[in-house]
Amino acid sequence: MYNKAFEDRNKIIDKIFKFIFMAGAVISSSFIVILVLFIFMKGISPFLPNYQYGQVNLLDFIFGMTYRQDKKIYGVGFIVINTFISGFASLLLSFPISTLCALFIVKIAPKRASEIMKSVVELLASVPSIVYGVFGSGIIVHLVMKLAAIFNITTAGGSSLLAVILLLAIMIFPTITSMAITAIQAVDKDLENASLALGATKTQTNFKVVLTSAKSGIFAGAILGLGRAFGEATAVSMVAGNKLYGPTFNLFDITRTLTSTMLAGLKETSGLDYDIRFSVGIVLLVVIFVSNFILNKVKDKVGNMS
Amino acid sequence: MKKLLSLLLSMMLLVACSSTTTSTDEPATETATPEAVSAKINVYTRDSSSGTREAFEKAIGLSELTQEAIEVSSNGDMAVKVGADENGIGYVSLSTDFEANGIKPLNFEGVTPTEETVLDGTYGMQRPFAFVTRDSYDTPEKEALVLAFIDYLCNSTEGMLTVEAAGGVVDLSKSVAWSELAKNHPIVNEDNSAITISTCGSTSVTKTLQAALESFVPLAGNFQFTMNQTGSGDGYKRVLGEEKDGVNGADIGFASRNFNEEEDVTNALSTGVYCIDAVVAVVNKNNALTDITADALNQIYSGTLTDFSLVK
Amino acid sequence: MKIKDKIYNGLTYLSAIIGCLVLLSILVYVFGKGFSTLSIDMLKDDYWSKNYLVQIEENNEAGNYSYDQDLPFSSKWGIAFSDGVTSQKEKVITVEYIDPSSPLNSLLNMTSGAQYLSKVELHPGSMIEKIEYVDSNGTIKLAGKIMKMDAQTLADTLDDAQSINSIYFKTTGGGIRGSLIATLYLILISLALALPLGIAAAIYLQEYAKKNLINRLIRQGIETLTGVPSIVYGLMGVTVLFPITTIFGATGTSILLGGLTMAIILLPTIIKSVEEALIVVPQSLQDASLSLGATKAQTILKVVLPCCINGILTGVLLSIGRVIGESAALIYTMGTFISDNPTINGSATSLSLMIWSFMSSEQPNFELACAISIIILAIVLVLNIIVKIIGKKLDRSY
Repeated sequence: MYNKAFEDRNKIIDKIFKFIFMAGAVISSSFIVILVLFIFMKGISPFLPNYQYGQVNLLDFIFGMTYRQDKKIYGVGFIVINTFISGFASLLLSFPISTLCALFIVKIAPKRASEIMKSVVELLASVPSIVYGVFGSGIIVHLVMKLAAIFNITTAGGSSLLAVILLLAIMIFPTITSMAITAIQAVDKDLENASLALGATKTQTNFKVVLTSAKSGIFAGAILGLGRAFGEATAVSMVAGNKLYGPTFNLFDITRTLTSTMLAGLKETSGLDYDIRFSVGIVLLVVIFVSNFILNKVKDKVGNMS
Repeated sequence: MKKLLSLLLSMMLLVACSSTTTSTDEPATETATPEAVSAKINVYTRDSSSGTREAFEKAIGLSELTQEAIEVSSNGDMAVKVGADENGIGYVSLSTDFEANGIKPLNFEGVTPTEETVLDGTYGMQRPFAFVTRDSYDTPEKEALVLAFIDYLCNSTEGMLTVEAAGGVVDLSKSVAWSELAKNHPIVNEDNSAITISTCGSTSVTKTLQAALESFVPLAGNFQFTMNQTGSGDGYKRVLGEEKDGVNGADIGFASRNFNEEEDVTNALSTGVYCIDAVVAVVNKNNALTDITADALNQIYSGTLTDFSLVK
Repeated sequence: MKIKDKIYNGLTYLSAIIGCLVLLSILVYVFGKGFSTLSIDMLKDDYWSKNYLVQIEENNEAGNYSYDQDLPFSSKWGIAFSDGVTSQKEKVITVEYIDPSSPLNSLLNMTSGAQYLSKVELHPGSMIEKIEYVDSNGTIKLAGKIMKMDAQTLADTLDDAQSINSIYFKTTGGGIRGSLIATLYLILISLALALPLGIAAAIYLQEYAKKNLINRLIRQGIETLTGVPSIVYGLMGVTVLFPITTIFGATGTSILLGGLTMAIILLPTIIKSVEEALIVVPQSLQDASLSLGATKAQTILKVVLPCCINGILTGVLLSIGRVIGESAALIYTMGTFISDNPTINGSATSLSLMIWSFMSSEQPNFELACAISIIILAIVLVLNIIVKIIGKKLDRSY
């Protein structure tokens, strides 16, 4: 009798614990829903007809090419384009270097050099973005300024699209590299041996066989890096310069990204200028999620081809 | 293989060394020769909630700012950016340290910006630093302390001198020694270390306000203060306006302009002007320009005049 | 063919070198600029200057002193000054030397409150703002920085003083003690919230969750959190979490709000590291416990969880690194006012936020920014090394 009661109690305790664990998981994952929901609610409000500070036209917002708080013109079209330009340009710069660096670490380097390089990549990955920001506004802008002077171009104190691209390229380098390292390490040894046995040189094997078989993983790293480039805020806003219209194609001209816009509006704490930040936040989320989705689809296609 | 590696390593070190020499360069030393660079003007302006910008645009009669303008977020930011840009033009408060930032103040309509020319009104681009208090405070102690500070800031010799030393322009003729004024404010003889006074509003007032607050701390029982200066637009808003009870509510609001009709300050316990500041057009210290007119500034800021060599 | 191979190989070497160079130049820049600012005093000093109003305790009369250095010196009062510039690029008059027998060595605090009439020392390095004195004609006059004097004028003026009524001086400031404490609070709050939640979630996902749609959704939700940029978390903090902090008495941005926001940012990291540790716990261990009559909950709490203490520790260390480095989300939620006495309910700056605070506002101070960067980098580096050691141990134990 006693035993039965004991067992029952244990069962109840077991159930309670299971419930607690489950609650933890449900709460954790529900944050994403809460996050999207609230930001969406707040961000969509300026476009509704009875918005208290005067309705903003949704189409003007999405396709607008001018962002001027002083004249209450909010167009993020060019900002989205700018964000894509700086993101993809930094990826273009960083991707080959990262991939080759990963190949070097896994396949080519002597053991010691490989260990050192691994630590270098890990260190770069752990540098906080504010430190990159200090570095960017202390060094990169001056390099850009010098470079511009060679071409007889004046820059806004070095703040420019180029500075943003360089900074982002540095910041996403460790992300892509570490993903590429994992991908290259996972390549089947037999595949390599087969290639070598067929008479290919070591280098040919590395570049033609190893990289090709690891491309799906490397690509995943690139997508991750791109996400980071789009979402990086503090460091970018320290070198972007915030142009009022756009899009910016000139490397030495100042630019404005979604994140730098969100941080520039920081002074306002209510009213339209405040709410519009949330709208920009939605756009940023959409840009990241949609580009992730599309690139993942592309990745799957590319991955299946080989 | 090993040889190659060691070669590369030594190369790396070499490049690293050379990169360190460039990376420790001060920004001030990196001034390219002026004649090598085309003289297209880079126009710097403040963000839209800035009182300095409002005063500046009013003084030069600007109706439409050029799209090429670069927005900066604060007075100091402006000084640094123009100081780093050979072809930049901007405007800052008179209290800014021109020399330290590598910028040069321009005479406006032939008048040099100095305290005298600002006080007698001959220098055109000037604006008041205004303050406003709340209509009520949580505790009577805080209310008394805020009013004591306002009295110190506006009427005492010590307070006004402190503001003046920090770059504000004040009229000392009616000032009274603080030891006299303090008799009306028994609160300053209490231990006020538990009270925190928060300020908000214009960023231009930061230097003068901070100096005044700091000097008032030991005179009034070591009270605490926090300054959250974000722009004149927030001065009224966070003290008497829509945000007074919100996240950013503050005790004293400041604006680097007079409060306008939309900002109803009649309910405030105290409001007024504690000093005058001039807005000064500035260029990089290497720029040859020394004088500028309102007309020229208008043309530059509206985008019709884009080259320094054409400025008359 | 061979040349082509060499070129290809050379390219990989080049890439690796570029990576090294980037790291090197960051380190060289940060250390070169910030190292001289770094000191123990900086760690324990306040950021804001301390302000003192003092009077002379005894012998309030001019004497005759001498000083052998070539600095502006008041022979009547035995004090030497120099002209200085603060890190905010402000001109100040700094005290350089005080004669050991000068009356300026015995000063009493004039500020009302607990410290009234307590002894205050005027150290070299302090900045003289205002001196109220009685001159040879018996009139009360003011001297010091507020009278726009430089060091030489001040010394000369003091030589005319018969007695000194009061001195107002400031200490140097520029320390980071407040931000260090705030960072510590932030770490504690965010971990206290994220750790239990994260561990519970990881246990559920690893030990309980069956493969069905709901659990897939739960996992997907947590994974999506990883991809959200931190600035968006900041937006979430001010809308969703701010009302929660008001219950605890916060009226604005606060460390509490920052901690809550950070907790959510940390969740995916913690869940992932705990899960990775849970995977490697051998099933046989659990089976043994269960067959001995222990319930599943008992098994998990008493057998499985102690085994993954290393995984939890890894999660904690990685989280600490993340909290120290985070800036974008905290700008919205913690404010950017540097506080010397941070409280949970008040706004304050973490180390990273402190850098942002003075880099984005008036007079950017690269030296101090780099000095703080060194501290951040050092902490993050140590944390990473410990994580690596734990990781190696983990590999060995199974």
